[in-house]
Formats: sequence, C-alpha cells, structure tokens
Amino acid sequence: MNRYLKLVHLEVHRFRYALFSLMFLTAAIQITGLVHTTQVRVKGWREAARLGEHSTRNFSFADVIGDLQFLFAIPILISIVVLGLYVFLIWYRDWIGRDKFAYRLFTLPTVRRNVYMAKATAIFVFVFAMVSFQLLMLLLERQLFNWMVPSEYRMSSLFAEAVASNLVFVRFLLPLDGIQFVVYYGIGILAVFVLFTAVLLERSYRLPGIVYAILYVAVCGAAIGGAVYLNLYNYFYPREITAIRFCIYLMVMGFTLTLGFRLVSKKITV
Amino acid sequence: MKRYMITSALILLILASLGTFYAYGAELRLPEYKLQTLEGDLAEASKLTLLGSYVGGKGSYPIEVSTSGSKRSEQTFSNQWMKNKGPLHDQTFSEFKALYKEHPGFMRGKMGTDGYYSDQDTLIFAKASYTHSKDTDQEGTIRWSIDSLDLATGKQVRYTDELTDSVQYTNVIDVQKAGSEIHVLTNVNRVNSGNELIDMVFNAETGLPIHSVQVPLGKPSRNDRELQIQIIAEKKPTAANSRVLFLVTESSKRTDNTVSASDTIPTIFSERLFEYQYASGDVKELPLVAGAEEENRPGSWTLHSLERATYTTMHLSEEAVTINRYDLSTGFAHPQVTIKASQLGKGTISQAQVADGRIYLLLQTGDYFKNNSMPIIAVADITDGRILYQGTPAPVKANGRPDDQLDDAQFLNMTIMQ
Repeated sequence: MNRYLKLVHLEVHRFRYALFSLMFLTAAIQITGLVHTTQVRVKGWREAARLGEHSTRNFSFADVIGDLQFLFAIPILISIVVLGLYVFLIWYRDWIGRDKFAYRLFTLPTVRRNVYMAKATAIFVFVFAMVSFQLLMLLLERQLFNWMVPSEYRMSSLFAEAVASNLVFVRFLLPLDGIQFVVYYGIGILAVFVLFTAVLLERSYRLPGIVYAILYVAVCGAAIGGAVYLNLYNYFYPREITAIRFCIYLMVMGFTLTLGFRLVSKKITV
Repeated sequence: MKRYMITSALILLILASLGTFYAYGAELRLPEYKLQTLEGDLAEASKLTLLGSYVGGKGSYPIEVSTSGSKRSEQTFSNQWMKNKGPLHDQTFSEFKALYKEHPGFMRGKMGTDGYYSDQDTLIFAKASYTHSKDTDQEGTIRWSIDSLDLATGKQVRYTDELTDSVQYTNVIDVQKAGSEIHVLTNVNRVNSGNELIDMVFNAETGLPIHSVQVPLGKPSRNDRELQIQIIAEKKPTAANSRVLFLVTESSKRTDNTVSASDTIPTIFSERLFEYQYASGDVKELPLVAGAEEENRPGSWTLHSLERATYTTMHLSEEAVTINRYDLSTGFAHPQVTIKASQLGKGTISQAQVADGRIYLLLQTGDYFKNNSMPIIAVADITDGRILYQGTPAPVKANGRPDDQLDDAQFLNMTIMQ
C-alpha cells in the first residue's frame, strides 16, 4: 500500500506543473470573462437608471454564469483534451528519452500492478482536482461578483442555481444529482482503465498490439455504449435495466483490470 | 510528510469540495408551498394536486403542490435509474399503483391505460398493433394480443389474432368481459375515410376469436361532410362497464387548400349520442343531453365521462361550470348543477374535473405575469353544487430564496388522484 501511494505521489509530482498551468488558465479565463460581463451589466443598469428606464428585475450571479457559457467551456475543454492526451502520455513518457524511466519503474521492488493502479489513480486525482478547483473558482467568482455589483442591482441566487445555469457544468462536469455524478465519473474511470489496457497491449505486442488495442477499445466501447443506451423499457423495469448496466460495467471493468494486470506483470518489456 | 504535500493537498481539496458540494450545495431548492384553506374542510382537497412551474431566479422548474406540501415534479436521474415501477405508476388512477405492487410480472412492459380490464377473477390487458407490409402494395397486418391473468391460480395466458388489412394505425380503446366473452373495442384508422370501431370478441375460456362487430355509427349524409367520433368509455381504466358511448358529430370536411384560419374550423351540422352494449351488440341512439350543442361556442367547451351507469357532461366556460348527470340504466336525469365563478369570490374558471362525487375547479385570479397571482381551487358536491372547500397555494418555507421570489410560481393545471 505504501509503495502504491508513493508511486501515486510520483505520478502527481511529475504532472504538477501542467496541472497548475491548467488551473491558472481556467482561473484567468473565467475571472476575466466574469469581470468583463459583470462590468457590462452594471454599466447597463447604471445607464438605465440615469435615463429613468425601469428594468424588469435585478441580476444574479447565476445570470452572469449563464451568460458565460462559451468562455467557461473553453478552459474546461482545454483541460479535458490535455488530461485525455495524458492518459496515453503517462505511459509513453516512460519509454521516451535517452534514459528510459520505464527501466527503473518496472524494476522497483513492488508488484507491477501497483504501477498500473498508481498511474490510473494519478489521472483520477488530476480530473477530480480540476473539478474541485472549478467549484472553488465558482465560490471565489461569486465573492468577486458580490464585490463588483452594488446591492441595489443584485439578486441573490443559490450556488446550485449558478452551477445549473451553465450547460457544461450541469450536463457533464458537475451534475446536481449525486448518482448522476457517480455514474458519469464511474464510466469515465472505466474508460481510463480500458485505454490503459489498450496502451499495454500496444507496449506488449508492438505493431500487432496496435490492432489488438483498437479491437479491444472497440469491443469495450461497444459494451459500455450499449449499456449506456440500453433501452429495454418495453420489458424491464428501470431498476432492472440499471442492474443490467452495472453488470456490464463490472464485467468490462473486471476483464480490463485482469488483462491489464496480466500484461503489466508478465508481458510488458522495456 | 512535506514531500507528499502536493498530493495530500489535492486529495484534501477533492474530498472537501466535492463532499461539501454534494452534501449541501448541489440541491436546487425551491420555496415550499402548501394548499392554504380559505374556507371549508381541507380533507376535501386531499386528492388534488396543482401542477405548475417555479420561475423565480434563473430558469424554470416544474413543481407540484398539494395539501401535504410541494415538491419538484421533474424526473431526476436518480428516479429514472432507481425506479422499480413501470410507466403507469405515476398515472392519476391509483389502481395502477396497486397492480404494479400485486402483479409486477403481469404488468411488465405494458404501456397505455386503455387496454385493461379487471374483476374479482381476472386481470386482462389487450393490445392492437398494425404492421405495414414490406411491399407497399400489399396489405399489412393488424395483430391483437390479449394477456389474461387468473387471479385465483396466478395462471397467465396469451391469446392472439390477426387480420390482413390496409390501415394507418390501430389502438385498443376499451376492454370488457361479458359472460364468457372478452370484448376488445379497437379503433381502426384508415387513410381518407375516418375511424372505424371494431369490437373483437374472444372466448374467455379458450382464447379463440368468436366474431368481430363493426359498430354501426352511420355515414356522412353528403360527400363534403365527415363524421368525427368521440369515444366515451368507462373512466376508470380497469373497471367493468357493460356499455360504451359514442358522440358522433357530422361536420364539413377539412380540406388541405384552406385559405384562412377560420376555414380550418369545420361547421358542425349534427351531433348524435349512441350507446353500444357489449353483451348484445346493440347500438341505441340516446337523446342528446342539454349543453352538448353549445360545445362549439367560443370560450367554452364540454367534457363527457362515463362511470359505471352514470353519464356526465360538464360544460365549462370562464364564468361557470354546468354539470348534467344521467343514469343510463334507469333513464333518470339528476338535477343540473351550476357553479359560477362569482360564487367563489374572484377569478375565472380555467379547469374543472369531476371525480368520486366531487367537482374540482381551478380558478385563475389574475394575470400571473403582472401580479404573480396565485390560483384558487374549489371542491364542490356534485349532487347540489355546495362548495365544500376553497384554498390557494401559499409559500410556507423560503428554502434560501429571497422574499421577492417566493410567489414566483405559476400553477396552471390540476390532477385528481382517483
């Protein structure tokens, strides 16, 4: 366990600058957008007040977040792309360079599946750290909004309302339903394991391994996608369909981890 | 430990922020409402639910309010994934809740409310579907399937029958049992020739089709006219009823080359009410009840219902609702009941329903968008029109919403649990 945790830390440490850069980029773009949009709104209100025009209602933090759909989506999409590429790079960087890091990694006095799990855990830490950072940013941005907008123009809103007003948050990143969060990120975790095993297939069998990896991803993708879109409501009750889905996910997960551990322990060469 | 600071800090950040968010921050709370009594007995409104939207703040969220309080009425992801009941569970007829509970196997995959029949011995579900032929020149096939559950033994059997025909679609309207016969009243829609109603009769013991009856409801008197058939079947989906009613309206034919909006409203020439007896196959014309001829007066409409032997018509306008009830087995006409909106203080009638000996009224008290006015609901006795309850939804808990958003709810519909 201790060795596994040390390996997790090693992987987190290696990606720390990239992670902090993503956080900085997210903060910079979102704060800039928020400040600009809020200033425009406040200016508009002041102008309306000066001309004696009556606006229908004050505006809230949720309104401003709703206005910033595209600007908020940009850093999130960039982060998704970077982390998506790093799912591959976290393995391949160990083989790249003059002094291959993989030599040292696979000769450590620990079971090799710890390497596999540590790399996966590191990816999950990065993803959830970015999501958590987004939540912290929203708290900070709400405070910033309250400082910038005079109370006579401001309407209070719930934190969940601000999250719900942005489609990227509510549909993908931070669904308000806890079970939805678990299901979405659970499928994401499963997808990471499938890609890891695909990388190991390629690393184990090289050129033919690419074909195996593509086939493996296609089969697992079809199984996961089939489970997601399982539409047998004409015969099954919803809870039964949920049980079938979970069985499919567990089977894919079990097979993927078994194959991944076997490849990393017995097949992989540097 | 200092060495592991970054990893530890990230994990702490994840646990603290996601944990706090999903424990406290993710709930999109709306103000809570409750039906507040203006006068009368609150128990009279216990079956009533008002449906509407909360529009305070950003966005709009479906909400429902009853005597026990309010709740968001949209299907959440958790509900969709964890529900162990079928699609009819949320219907206003409570009998489906009981059917899911008592016969989950039989109810599996059964959609639609019109194909059910039950008595103390049997539970029946019938379905009719039309399959087009792969060759467009060939006729397709109408298929009937009848699932019958013996409530004493738990034995379930399926009967089927099919007919080659060329139609647009078919659907089951009513299922009844008369002696040893199962009657499946089926609507058959044909291209350019309106609807046909076919009573498919099956032997309840063997499942074999006995015969089919095309219910004779007349033909249009001229080529430029058509018949519109309104089916008035037993209101409670599974209840037994020996008859079904048809309101047949002869109107001008709607054509595709209309030039103005007024052309799309067909002229009505006659309305006739027929009664079809399942057991005998007899069709009898009934004297048209008062009020039905007013159906097309602008701003008013008439609703018809049949519950056991009682045929009820409810004529609604913004100012008043008038109920006529007839006992079809004796021919007795109950005293007409009229409730005027002016009796209820303020507002105009927007909806009314009759259920279990009560008249439920929903009155809108003003322009919602101007003054956020809450509606009034009223419950009256169907026998004499006496008002038994009047109430209005009122906020009882802010749930973190500012005071000026508490009345940002609009309730435009009501349902009655029967």
